[in-house]
Amino acid sequence: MLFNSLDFAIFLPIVFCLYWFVFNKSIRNQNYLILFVSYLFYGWWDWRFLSLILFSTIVDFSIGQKLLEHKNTKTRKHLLLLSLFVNIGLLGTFKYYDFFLDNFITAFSFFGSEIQSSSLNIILPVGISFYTFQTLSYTIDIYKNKLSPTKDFVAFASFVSFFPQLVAGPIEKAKNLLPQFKEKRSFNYNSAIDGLRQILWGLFKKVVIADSCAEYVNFIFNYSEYQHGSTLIIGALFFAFQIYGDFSGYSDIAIGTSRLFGFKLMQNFNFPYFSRDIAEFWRRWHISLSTWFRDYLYIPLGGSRVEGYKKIRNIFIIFIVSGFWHGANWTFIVWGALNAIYFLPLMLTKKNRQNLNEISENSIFPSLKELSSIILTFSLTVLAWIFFRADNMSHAIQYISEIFSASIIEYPYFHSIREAVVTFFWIILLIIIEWFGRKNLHALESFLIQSNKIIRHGFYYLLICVIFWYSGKDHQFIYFQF
Amino acid sequence: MEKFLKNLWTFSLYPTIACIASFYIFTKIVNEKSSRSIVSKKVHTVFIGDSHIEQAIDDSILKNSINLGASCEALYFSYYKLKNLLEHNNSIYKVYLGIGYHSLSNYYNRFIYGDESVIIAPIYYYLLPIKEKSKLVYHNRNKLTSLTKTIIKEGIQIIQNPKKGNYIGGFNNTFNKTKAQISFMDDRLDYQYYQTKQTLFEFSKSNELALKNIIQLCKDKNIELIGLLTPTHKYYFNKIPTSHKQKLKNFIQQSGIQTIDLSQLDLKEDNYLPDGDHLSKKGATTITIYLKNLTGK
Repeated sequence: MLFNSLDFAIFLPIVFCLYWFVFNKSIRNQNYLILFVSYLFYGWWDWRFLSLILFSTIVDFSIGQKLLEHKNTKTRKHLLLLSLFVNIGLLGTFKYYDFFLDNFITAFSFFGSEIQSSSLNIILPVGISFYTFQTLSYTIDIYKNKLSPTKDFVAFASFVSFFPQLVAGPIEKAKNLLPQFKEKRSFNYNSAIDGLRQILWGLFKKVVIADSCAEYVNFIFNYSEYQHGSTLIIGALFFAFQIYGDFSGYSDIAIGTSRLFGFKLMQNFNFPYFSRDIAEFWRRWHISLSTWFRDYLYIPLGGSRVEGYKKIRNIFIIFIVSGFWHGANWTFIVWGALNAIYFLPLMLTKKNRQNLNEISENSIFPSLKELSSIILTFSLTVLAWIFFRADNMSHAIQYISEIFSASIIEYPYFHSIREAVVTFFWIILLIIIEWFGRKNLHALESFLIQSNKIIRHGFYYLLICVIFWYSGKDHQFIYFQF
Repeated sequence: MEKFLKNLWTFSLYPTIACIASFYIFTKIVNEKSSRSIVSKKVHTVFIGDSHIEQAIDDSILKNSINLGASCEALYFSYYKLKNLLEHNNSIYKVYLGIGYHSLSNYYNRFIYGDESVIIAPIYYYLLPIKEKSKLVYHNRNKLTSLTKTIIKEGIQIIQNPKKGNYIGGFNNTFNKTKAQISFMDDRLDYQYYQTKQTLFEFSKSNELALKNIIQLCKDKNIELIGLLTPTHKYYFNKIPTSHKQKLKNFIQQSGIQTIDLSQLDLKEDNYLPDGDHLSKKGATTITIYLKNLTGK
């Protein structure tokens, strides 16, 4: 069920009441409830894939236990490899099988041989890229002796399947989230109220921003060969806000929902479009995934502590793998490589950690230098997003070539000028509110907090009305396809 | 927790009450506006039905007549529309009701209870009694926000101009220089008569009941009711499933409804739209004049 659906609007209060009033006698009871409702939530998408998540859970729980029992390095390594094999095997089968097969066939036909084969056209289970990485973090941390395995299967299974973040993150590390399933959760009024604010803002970003932009993006990208360069730029810009609204909106709803149950999830987006360089962007965008790759891939490869070509190699590996994680298409790989190219100069000149402080820390507005850095960084990410959104490489290349053609000076096409203006208005409002909330965990945390209650509540009611008015378009969360 | 629940309750309660009250007042105003006379007192004859009527009868050629045909209008909706019309218009004494071989099938259920209900049904929301309104909401419970928005938009339109409500319909045909094409006709036949490639649409009890209700309504109001079958292309007509032809014939016989059957009228190719089931603008002129001569009005 989608977060912005009637089903979820009924599901959440019921679960909330059961959690705090019926199953609150013990942590174990609450975990049982979470496990049950999480499987119900996941099964709502497709009950056939419950077996996969259960399988992954059982395998990694068992491997965790075995890692505790066995001290022999070789045995432990084999156990870890087994966990990697199972989880990446699941991903490989469901996500990448057809991609590798198609490319294998293409490669053979390039050499003049024809191979008869058929793609499996496998349905991608929702959230598989997220929960497999989550369980992998468990076994890897145990292997590295950073975490003790849990004997509580219910707590572990609840951690793997926790419904707010099951299908699109944040990807929680076991050492952060799993202990919370073993501790008593107390209801915290301020956290719950702020959680509701975060849910509200997440819904605004998803329903109003992302879904409004999606109408234009789908049209422009689907008919890009008929559009002027100026229209294609608008399409790319709208996509940048669509994917941000969609994904950060989902994360906000997930984090806000978790807070209602006394859980603390990690921040997944830290106002990335205000970044002053690409390195900062990657510290602010999809933080849970980038930190996962940093901790479990980049650092084991040597990170930035290696010299020469290995440093460059590591950068390309991490970005390309990150791109490939997103989907089985060359466009995602190119998107990753492009980001690596952006990142490399900063890394090599040791400027990748120059913008660690908060932007415009001591002023309300950015300086001219900051503003130009933000615009440049944003432009580079928008260019890369074109590959992310395009159907294939030729589509992406056609799209970009048309942007950099003479038609860039033509008047852009809008099928409804009025609606385009309204969409721009919402985007500007988003930027303003997020700018003033950039020092917080989410934009509404302190927005109008000092104001009169009537004004504050009036603003929330306005947001609710706008969300209601824009809902019903039924655009799937983009990251569900990963 | 108590403070949280109390504040949440307070936050939700006032706007909920305000919304319900506003919606109640809003629907009252819309109902009042939509119950006013939507046709002139000079109008004695009304054409009502779906897109077949909407595109076939050019009421500018006829005297004291008005075409109130609307696209995707099932007999179920036509009944409530006609009921509302006759309650507020004493001048009408003749109704031509568009019927076709598809009229009694489940084909139309998609607009009443099915996937396309959320687009079509809200247009008629204000004409429906409470029980039918509840059914409409229930069938669209998964698309509640879209449904509510459409209902509100329709209501605003009625308030702004009661004679321009979408449910009213009207002659609408801008198709020139068209002719029937086999591939389009085949597609249309599939769409209109076949649920799947092999399975025909079954017959709909609710549409049959709606037609009976229309007949009874006109009887009660002493209105002359004439069923009108609009022309279809010969190729199209020959491919209409026999069961559907028989069903309508049986109904007409049993109910005794007067009909004018133009379905097999042999018109020139350019009188049809490519689907062979609707008329072009030229076809509309042809048929309207034919009808005028036939009825002497």
